[in-house]
Amino acid sequence: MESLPVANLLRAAALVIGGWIIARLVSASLVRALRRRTAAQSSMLLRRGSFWLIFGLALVMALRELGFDLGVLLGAAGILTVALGFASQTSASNLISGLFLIGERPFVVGDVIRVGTTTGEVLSIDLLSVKLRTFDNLFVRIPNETLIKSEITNLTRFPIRRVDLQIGVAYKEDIDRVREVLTAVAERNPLCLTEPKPLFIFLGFGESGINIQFSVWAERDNFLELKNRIQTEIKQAFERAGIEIPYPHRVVVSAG
Amino acid sequence: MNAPVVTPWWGEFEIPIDATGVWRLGPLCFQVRNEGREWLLSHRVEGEPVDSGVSVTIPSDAPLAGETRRYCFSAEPQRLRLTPRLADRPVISRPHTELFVPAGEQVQLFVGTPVWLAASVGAPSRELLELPVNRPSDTWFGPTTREGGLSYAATTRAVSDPKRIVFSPFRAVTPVLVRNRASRVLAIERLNIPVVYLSLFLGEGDTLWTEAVTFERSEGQEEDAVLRIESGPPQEAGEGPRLSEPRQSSERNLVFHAFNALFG
Repeated sequence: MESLPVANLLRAAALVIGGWIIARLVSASLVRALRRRTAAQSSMLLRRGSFWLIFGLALVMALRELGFDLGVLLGAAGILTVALGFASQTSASNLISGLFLIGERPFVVGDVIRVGTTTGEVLSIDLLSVKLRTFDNLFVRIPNETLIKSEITNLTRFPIRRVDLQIGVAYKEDIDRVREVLTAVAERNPLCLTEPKPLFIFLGFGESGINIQFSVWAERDNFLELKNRIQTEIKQAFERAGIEIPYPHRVVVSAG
Repeated sequence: MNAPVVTPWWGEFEIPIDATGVWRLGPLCFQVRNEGREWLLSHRVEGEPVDSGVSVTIPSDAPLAGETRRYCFSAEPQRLRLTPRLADRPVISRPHTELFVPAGEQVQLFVGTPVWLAASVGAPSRELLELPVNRPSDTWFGPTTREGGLSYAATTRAVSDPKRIVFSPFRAVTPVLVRNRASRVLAIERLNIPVVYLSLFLGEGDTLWTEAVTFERSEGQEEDAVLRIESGPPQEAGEGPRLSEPRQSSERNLVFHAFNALFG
């Protein structure tokens, strides 16, 4: 580097000091002006972003005064941009997935969804992720890219929902009578919808008894209450009717 | 029409301070206790849904039981008013026997729907609660499990002769005229009674009536019909007073999902 005139050195120093002061003043003023509209975290980002933008410009101007070739800096910036691009692939994918999710609307804020083993209420649908609150009050963040690739079950899309009950009865029981008892229980329970009609399915012959599925419908908000109440009522009805719910049976044959 | 034998349970009642009034309305036991500036209202289901007796006991020694609510006032309310009201959702009435209306025919039916009890106190009247006298079962009415609406399910004799109506203090009668202007027979397995658009009137002999409605089904309409609601009490009821207003206002000539909605 050729020896620089003192004037250039002084100008460079003035640019750095002046740039620092101006950057501090402008960033603080911006944050003060927008304090009521921005959260604490956003204020911090705004302060730092605006400070380094202005101070960075001042530094570049100071470097020019000192005789540095800015082309080298621009080349370094270009390489940095490529590196950032590679590093932000996942974020870009999440961003694009988020746009598709917003357009397709498989769920909206307030819906209850199940993704894998996580079930929760949708709190927000953001650019990169969706936030859920689970029923035990935990906060879950799911990247949009994961959601686009996964099966999502929306538990609150439709107004009514079916409760599937798995019931086992002893082999000795009369299946028609069991069906009558179950139907009567469903008819007596006002939360159990009359239409669609309850469904009785003979699933098969189990190890210890006959397996039956009895499905009843409820308004979505009454799903849990109906599930609890009707199973209690079925048990009481079976006891009154003398219908046995079998324990596991084993037949032991001794050798010799 | 048969001479109705209906015991009214509605009206204004004075309950002395520190006394309890008990209304046994079919399966419902409704109690009101006056403690001056606090009133306690409780209700429970005691009997079977088919019970139709009415008894009012004021004062009563029976302790409050069931679901109880406590209401506080700045000044002691003087009187309790009980008012019958129609259901808060449409009622899907299923005739005991499926009936058919041939093409070009019309039929006049009389359909019963369950009523609610509304309790209010003071002047001006302040409503405290409302509840069904005989809570009907929830049901869904719509072409699929995705489209439709939550309703109540009821069964009805759907008699066509007003002399054969069986009156109840807990049911309101709606005259329904079904006109089938289509070229195919109309099979009525379920009928959607739009009680939320109807008023409740007091008829002769303390019977409960709503306005008459007409469902007119035209060519191309399978389960929809144009609904028309007549104004005022039906002629079979006489000129009784209006007991309660419609819960919702309706449009004139509303196209309404009136029939069946069977599920695939």
